[in-house]
Amino acid sequence: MISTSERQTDIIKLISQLDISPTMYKNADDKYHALAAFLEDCGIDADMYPHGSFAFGTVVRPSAKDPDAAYDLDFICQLRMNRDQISPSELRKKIEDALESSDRYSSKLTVYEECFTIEYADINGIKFTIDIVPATDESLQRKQELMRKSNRPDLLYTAIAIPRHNGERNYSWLTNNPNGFRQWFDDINKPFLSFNREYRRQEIFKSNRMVFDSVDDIPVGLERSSMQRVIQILKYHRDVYYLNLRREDSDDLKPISAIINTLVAAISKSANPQSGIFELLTYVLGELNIYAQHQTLGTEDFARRYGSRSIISRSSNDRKWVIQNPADPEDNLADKWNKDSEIPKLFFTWIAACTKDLVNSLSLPDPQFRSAMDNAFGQTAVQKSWGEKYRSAIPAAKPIVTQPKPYRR
Amino acid sequence: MIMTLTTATEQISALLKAYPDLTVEKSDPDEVRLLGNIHIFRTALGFTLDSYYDIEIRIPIDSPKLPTVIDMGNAIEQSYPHRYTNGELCLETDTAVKLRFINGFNLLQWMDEYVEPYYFTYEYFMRFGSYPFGERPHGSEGVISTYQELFHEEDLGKTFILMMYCADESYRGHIHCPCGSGKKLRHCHGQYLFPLMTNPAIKEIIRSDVEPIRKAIIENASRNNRQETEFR
Repeated sequence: MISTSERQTDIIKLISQLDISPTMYKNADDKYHALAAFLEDCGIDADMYPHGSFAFGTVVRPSAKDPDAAYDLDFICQLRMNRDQISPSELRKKIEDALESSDRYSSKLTVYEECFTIEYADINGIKFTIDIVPATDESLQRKQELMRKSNRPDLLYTAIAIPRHNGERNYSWLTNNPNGFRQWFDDINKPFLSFNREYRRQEIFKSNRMVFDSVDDIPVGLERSSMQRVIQILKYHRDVYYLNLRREDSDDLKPISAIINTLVAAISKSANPQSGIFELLTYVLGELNIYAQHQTLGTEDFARRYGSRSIISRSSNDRKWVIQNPADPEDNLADKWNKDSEIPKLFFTWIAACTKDLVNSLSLPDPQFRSAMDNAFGQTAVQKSWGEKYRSAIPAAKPIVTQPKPYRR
Repeated sequence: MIMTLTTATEQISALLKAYPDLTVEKSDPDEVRLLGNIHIFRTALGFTLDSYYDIEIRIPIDSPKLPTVIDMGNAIEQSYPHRYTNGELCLETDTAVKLRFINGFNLLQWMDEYVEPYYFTYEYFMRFGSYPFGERPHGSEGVISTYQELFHEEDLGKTFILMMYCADESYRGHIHCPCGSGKKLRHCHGQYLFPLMTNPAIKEIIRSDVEPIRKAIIENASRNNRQETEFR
């Protein structure tokens, strides 16, 4: 039997192949800086910065079903003014007009209700798109209002206002705080990132000598701590799992990345920052399986048994699920869970499947481990990364043709 | 459909070849029992089952009863609705299995088409919280639902009326379809009923399914009548 540590290394290899490559990273970095410079030339006084997985270093190739799918990289274009100085529609128009005026960008541009998307041609066969969300600084009054409600008011200085579409080309302001969230996330990730850092940078350098002249050239944005790897593993597992549900509404049912980022980071806060990837993953899944008991235990019973755990909580009066966005006191990330009870149920069923695949299956015999990984990450991705490794000589799994339905007298 | 000791012996030896970790535990004139571990390696809907299970297979000899499987390793959780408390697996309705093997029972095919997919269905259900190929309602409704598929009829009541017609009458295409559509039978459910009604073995299966349900309906009705009289 191939050792557990070799299996873990292979899983990490598979995940890192779904990550953004150093070449693509450089490319995306150049493209968005060029875009920022262009907007400045158009007289738009703004800061352009990444948010989402590009900012957190948790990119995984989207859409498990389509290996050619583009990477969506998200950016905020924040004008250096506050929301009282411009209307949401004016803000949108300003950026749209600038992009439309350019030969370089107008042909690549698609205008959506929430953002502007610029699609770049294939580079080495991989497409990527830059999504730009226009924004302004949030008003002082609104920031103060949020600070009063928050137990981390320090995170709210960076709150922004973005146009929200209300239908019929009508826009209002919506508060958001991607920089505050990133601050919170980076603070937790910092000790994980420091651990074994030189070794990890050396490893990146060793496999990318064509891209970097020296270790010092490697941007911090390409480093991956245990915590970031755990998020990537869970995100990709989620994509495959919810795709395999084969339901039209699976995109509405699947947990958004913000939930995964928040839960993993909040749980990691109490983990040892020197944890290896699988040590941390096991710990995170263990905690989430405890939170699963919120489904059957009352709020008080849960508190009695599991103490102060409050990353996922339920209110005692109306049993509402709460996953608090740490950087926005008005944002409950579990809002959808309260509208459709199937969503939390499926979330915890998924967590159980993750535990089975990524923790328990590591001790199975080789061929069964391979089957478990096919289930976890999809046969195509596994085959591409591992070839025939772990497979036994026996023929492939036999398809089920008849479709018997279990019964009971 | 009924297995003699000779056909059973032949089929069992083929089965033991396909599942080398099964052994004959008991061989009586009326029943053979096999015990041991089977490897199931099956795939559908993007999910692969690759696992080992301890089971016992009970094969009735010279009997109209179907073979049964006992979950010896307690692999199926108690909460799963398709396992009897004695460990027997609820594979499918007897009707569906009997109709599948109307031209002679085959143990290997039965393993391939019912037993292995049962475990697949279970593991899929535990992983995704839903049934890959659907499930049957319990009791009579499950039996009728088997016929709903055969008759291509969505209504449970109409299906039972059609079942009674199959059990009691001979096929006549020019009459009005019993489902009440007003169409001639041959232009309505006839195409599905004809092959069933003209096969005596199948007709017998339908009869044996209709009788207990009809009896239950009559008993239920007379009980209600009594209650009504008492109430007055």
